Amino acid sequence: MLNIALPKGRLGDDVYRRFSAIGFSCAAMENEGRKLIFRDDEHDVSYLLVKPSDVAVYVERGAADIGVVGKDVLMENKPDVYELLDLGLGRCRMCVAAMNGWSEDISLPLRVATKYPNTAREYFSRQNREIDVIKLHGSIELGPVLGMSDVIVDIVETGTTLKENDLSVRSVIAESSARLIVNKSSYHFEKERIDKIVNDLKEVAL
Amino acid sequence: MEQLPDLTPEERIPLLLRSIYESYGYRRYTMGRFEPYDVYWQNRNFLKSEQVLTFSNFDGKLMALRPDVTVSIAKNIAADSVSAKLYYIENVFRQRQGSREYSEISQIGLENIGNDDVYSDGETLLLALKSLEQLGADYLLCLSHMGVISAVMDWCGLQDKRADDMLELLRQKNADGLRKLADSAGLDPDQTDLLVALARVSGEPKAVLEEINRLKQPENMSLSLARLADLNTLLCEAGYGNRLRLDFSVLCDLDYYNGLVFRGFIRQLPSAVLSGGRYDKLMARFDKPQPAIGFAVYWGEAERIFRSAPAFDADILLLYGSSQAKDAMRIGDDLRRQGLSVRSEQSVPPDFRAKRTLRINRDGQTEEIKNA
Repeated sequence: MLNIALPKGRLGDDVYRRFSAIGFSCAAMENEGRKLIFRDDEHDVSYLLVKPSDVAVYVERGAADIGVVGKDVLMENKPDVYELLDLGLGRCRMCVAAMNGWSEDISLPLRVATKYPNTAREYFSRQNREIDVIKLHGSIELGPVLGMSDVIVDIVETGTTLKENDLSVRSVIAESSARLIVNKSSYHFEKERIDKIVNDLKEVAL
Repeated sequence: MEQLPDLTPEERIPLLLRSIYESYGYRRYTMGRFEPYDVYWQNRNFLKSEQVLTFSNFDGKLMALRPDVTVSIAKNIAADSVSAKLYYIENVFRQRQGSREYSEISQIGLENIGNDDVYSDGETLLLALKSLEQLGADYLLCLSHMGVISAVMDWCGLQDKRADDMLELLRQKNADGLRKLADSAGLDPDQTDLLVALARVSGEPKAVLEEINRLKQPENMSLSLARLADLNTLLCEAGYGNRLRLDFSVLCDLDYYNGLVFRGFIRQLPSAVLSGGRYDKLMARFDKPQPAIGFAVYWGEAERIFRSAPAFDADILLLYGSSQAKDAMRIGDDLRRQGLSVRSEQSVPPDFRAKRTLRINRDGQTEEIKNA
């Protein structure tokens, strides 16, 4: 039985369709409901639906053999897993954004509101810029709007939210997209099966 | 008269590992739990974590609770001892991965000091394989060689941040990422192909070596690849061929490790249960001329899978009244002489599971209580 952890939400739905296309469909998944685990004995697979930021935890600890998660989450948490494929889905950019017209006072530590404190620290320390991290869990854009922070570090997909809050991108830290991650122990014991999944997923993406 | 009880797996396995290591002439090494902190501070990259439990001794010197055994051995071994084969069963104190707490972690390992040849690498791998065999029926040992990695790094001219990125991407087997890195570093197609192949390949050593050897490669890589091929032949002869994998995502810090490196996996555990390699460079940091190779079994992690709660806490729960001390002792010991375990209590303890529950009645006899 192969356990696959998918992020709840649209990305998870898209990824499930790809797995289904390469022979890992799971009838139970097609019904809407509140279940979190779906088993399909015929295809010898079960799916776990978890919070996107938790996917890597399940894979690293071996509760799932395979998972799909955004590169943004991997950069932030650096789990000890294999990252075998860029699925090209859920593309976005990790950006530094600020209010339009804002200018930086380099004599003070930069106040950064973000869901990604490690990514922010790493990026600004490479530039020798001292920062004050304000960890938020959502609605990051409010930070600069209310003057609580100077900038935000967040993922930007279309830029609509930024625009509507009078913010704009100042610099791009990294590109992100959904990645296929695999538990290190599972990979070695299930290599043939997992290699085939990686190759088949490459084909359906084309 | 008293008999040793049957050993549980978590008691038996360390003893089995000891007897394996001793049969190869390894001697047990024991050491104190404290060392001056600066030893670890100077080698903090080797430890993968700067978090060390410290305290001041009476002279005000900063001491550390040992976070690692190999560093202590490298420091304490005499520079003139030609060869030393040591094993240890020790607790180390470190931060568990992803945790903000210190843990006491039990490690079993061995160090093979003073030799650098195919046999001594092979003997160390063989002992690693035999250790894994005791831990799980389904196990694999993944090999790599830091010489291959540093040769490729030099050939591609990767330095500083790019070199770190390359190691990180290899560790992730991230072929897409390495291709991008090769692009941005302006590598030629041969260099790119080799880099991407190192991330991608994994499997039985012979097949993997053939695949790598089909590609154009830097000259100084061949010696390391030849060592891997020799070791594979040696261990196939020893009957362990189907347990070996070659996988270049197995990496150790280049500042300390220079040759063969390896990780052992068992199916029941999500991360490596054994880790080792040749650490001549760590020895050199302590001005020790000897080459050295060794490994550690993360016994603390493995132990968990062998734990199973016994179905019963005792064979018999013997209930006695407050004036029945003599009867309680006599009857309890009679039963124990029959080889049964007996717990004596005035009333049934909460959550206690006994196969049978007996109560001492007014006549000093026992009567069985059902559904106690």
